Amino acid sequence: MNVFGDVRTIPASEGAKNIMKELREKLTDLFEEQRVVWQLGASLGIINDKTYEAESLGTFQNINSLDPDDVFQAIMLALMPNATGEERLKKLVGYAEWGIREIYKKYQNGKLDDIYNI
Amino acid sequence: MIINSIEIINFGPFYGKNTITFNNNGKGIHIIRGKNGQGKTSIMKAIRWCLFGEAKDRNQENIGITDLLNKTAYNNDILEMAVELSIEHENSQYKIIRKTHSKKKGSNFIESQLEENIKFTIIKDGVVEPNPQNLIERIIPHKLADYFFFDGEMLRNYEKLLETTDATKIIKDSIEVVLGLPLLINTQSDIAQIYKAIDDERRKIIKRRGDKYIQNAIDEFNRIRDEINNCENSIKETDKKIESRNSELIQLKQQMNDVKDIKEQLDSLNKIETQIHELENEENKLKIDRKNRITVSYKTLLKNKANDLIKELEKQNDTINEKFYEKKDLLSKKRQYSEGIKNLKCSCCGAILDQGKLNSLENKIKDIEGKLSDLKDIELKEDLSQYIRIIKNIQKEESVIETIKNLNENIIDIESEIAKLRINIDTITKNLKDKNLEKVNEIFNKSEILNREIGALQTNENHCKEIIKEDTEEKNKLIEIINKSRSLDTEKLDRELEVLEKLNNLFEKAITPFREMKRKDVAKSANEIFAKLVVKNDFKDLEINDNYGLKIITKNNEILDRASLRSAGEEQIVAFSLIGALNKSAQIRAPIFMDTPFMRLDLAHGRKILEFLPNLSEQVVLLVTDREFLPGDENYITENIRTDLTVKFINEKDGSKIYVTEVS
Repeated sequence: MNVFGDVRTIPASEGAKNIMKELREKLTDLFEEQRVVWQLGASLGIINDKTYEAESLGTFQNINSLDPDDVFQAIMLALMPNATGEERLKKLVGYAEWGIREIYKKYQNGKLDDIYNI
Repeated sequence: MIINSIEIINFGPFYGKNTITFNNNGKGIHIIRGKNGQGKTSIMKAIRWCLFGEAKDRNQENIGITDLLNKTAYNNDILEMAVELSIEHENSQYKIIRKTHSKKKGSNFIESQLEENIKFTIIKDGVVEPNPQNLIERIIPHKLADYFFFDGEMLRNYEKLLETTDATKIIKDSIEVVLGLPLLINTQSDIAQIYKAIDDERRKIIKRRGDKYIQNAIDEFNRIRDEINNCENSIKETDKKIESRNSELIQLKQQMNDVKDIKEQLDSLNKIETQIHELENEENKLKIDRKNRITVSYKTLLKNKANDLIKELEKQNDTINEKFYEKKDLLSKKRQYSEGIKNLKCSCCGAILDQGKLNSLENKIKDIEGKLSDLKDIELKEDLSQYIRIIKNIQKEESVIETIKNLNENIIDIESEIAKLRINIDTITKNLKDKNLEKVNEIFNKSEILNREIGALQTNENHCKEIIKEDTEEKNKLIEIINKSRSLDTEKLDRELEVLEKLNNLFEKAITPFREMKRKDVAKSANEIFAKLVVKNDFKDLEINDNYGLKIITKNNEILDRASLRSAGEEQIVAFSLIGALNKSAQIRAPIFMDTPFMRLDLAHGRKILEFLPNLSEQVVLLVTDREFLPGDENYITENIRTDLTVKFINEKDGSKIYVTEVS
């Protein structure tokens, strides 16, 4: 059991997965793994409080890989204390989906550095 | 040595017996004419085969013996071949015969049989000499053959004397043989042998006397003397090597100077490439650092949000705590009221003692249970405190964003620096296009190797000098001991040894000046010949180098010291001057056979050489084509032509024949 209930795997949309794959392949100097893009995306979504609701989601990665220090669990619990685990997970996935797309937009505009201009 | 006649049997293009007789007992100028491919060069090959048992093509490759055997003879199963020279040497008549044969055709071993059956004979004044091989080396040493029987094309070899290579060393050595230098060296070696023999004799006498102490001193003296000799020889050898390498270095320095600009650019290119390599390494390190920081940067992004999140979680925690203690308190009261109810009943019969109080307590419990039902899920949560800690940790995290930005800037700076350096590389590479960089590197590498070798040789030499110094001190002490033991029976030998030692020192001192003197003689004669042969009046003289290579000095004091600076004709004139000078300074007299000597020369130079021929040697034989020896050229030879022959190739069956030239 965790703040997301019994869920062990975090899903992602095909669109987000394609972006993460492309960024990882093209920016090997920046991103060690796809999960780094996911973590940055989720963080961007959280701090901007923006989500993107993808039409369909598929399996992405284990929760322990994406949130090894339980940071996202702690945050989602703080943000949604009275929600169910499923609701919290859905929200986190929405944040990540939005953030990943935001990173991609900045990459395409050649302004990837802007992700740190908070 | 003068060749009176040559008899050639089934050799090369000559089928059957072919005789060349030189008139005037062989003395003077003789001409053998022939177009290309008639057999002129084969005559020279026949002579060299007869004298030395060797036959080489123009590339200096050995020709197999079956290839020397005449084809018609082979087809007719006449598997015999011979060359016989009749010569006059030091007032004696010699017949030098080399012949061979094999079994009938069809034998699988013709070549090996021809090789095995070679018979070499010298008959001196009608008597067969027991050791013809040694005798021929005394008459005309094999090493010197190139200076007496030479091909016009071979003159190119002499150009090599201007450089310093292994080939030069061989040519230089053979030149010194021509000049008689080994005579001195051999004599010195003979003196050393005699010294050793007398010294051994002296030692035996002392041994017979039974003076063990003195004997030991002598043995030690001899050991030290040998060691000193070995060291001195080693120093001599080392000096030669150092001199040779220094001479190579001097040559190289000129070449290095010529390609200095290219080398500087190459060095600069290497330096820039190293710089780029270092910058790329630095860039990679920065990129790895940046990647690592990006990996954890999501925590920095969340830092600003952390405060609110902590407050939220703490609020949740406080609420839960408050409710938890409220629940705990209610549960405690419920237990207290239940206990009170229990006390209101008789412990024996269970009858109610105070109904009013009982009702009041039951109402209170009901009220508490109502409140507890709202708090039934409230439990103290460890997880919540843990999550607060996690977010507090985020707050404590070092911000990596500034670092990432700085790293980005540094990486961009490095990339821009690398781009600038690459532009420099492009410029230098364009400048170096079409340049022979391998050659340049080779020159400088060779210079490095030579310097290293010289360093090693000098170390070795210093080591030898140290040994000599120590040994000499020891030797002097031993001499004192030995001298004290002098007696009548060894005194004579001691005196002889002293004389021999002085003689040895004399030769030691004489070799270098003798070599220098001979070199000057060669230079002087070569200059005289060159002055007679050269047509241009731009040239002042020739200068000789240590390898006997000749540099042309122009009247403007320009030094033409490389083959590339001189025309092919000038090269040949220089080589001709050297050959003339060597023959003049040589200790051995022999005829000069020249095959196609004028091919690279223009008319004017060719004629100058013709005028000079009688001075070259007592017997000169020219093997010439009709293109290089034109009608009327005879007039340029200041002396009568004693023999004028023509070689003609008749047909495949009859091969080549030699005729007296018909006067047209």
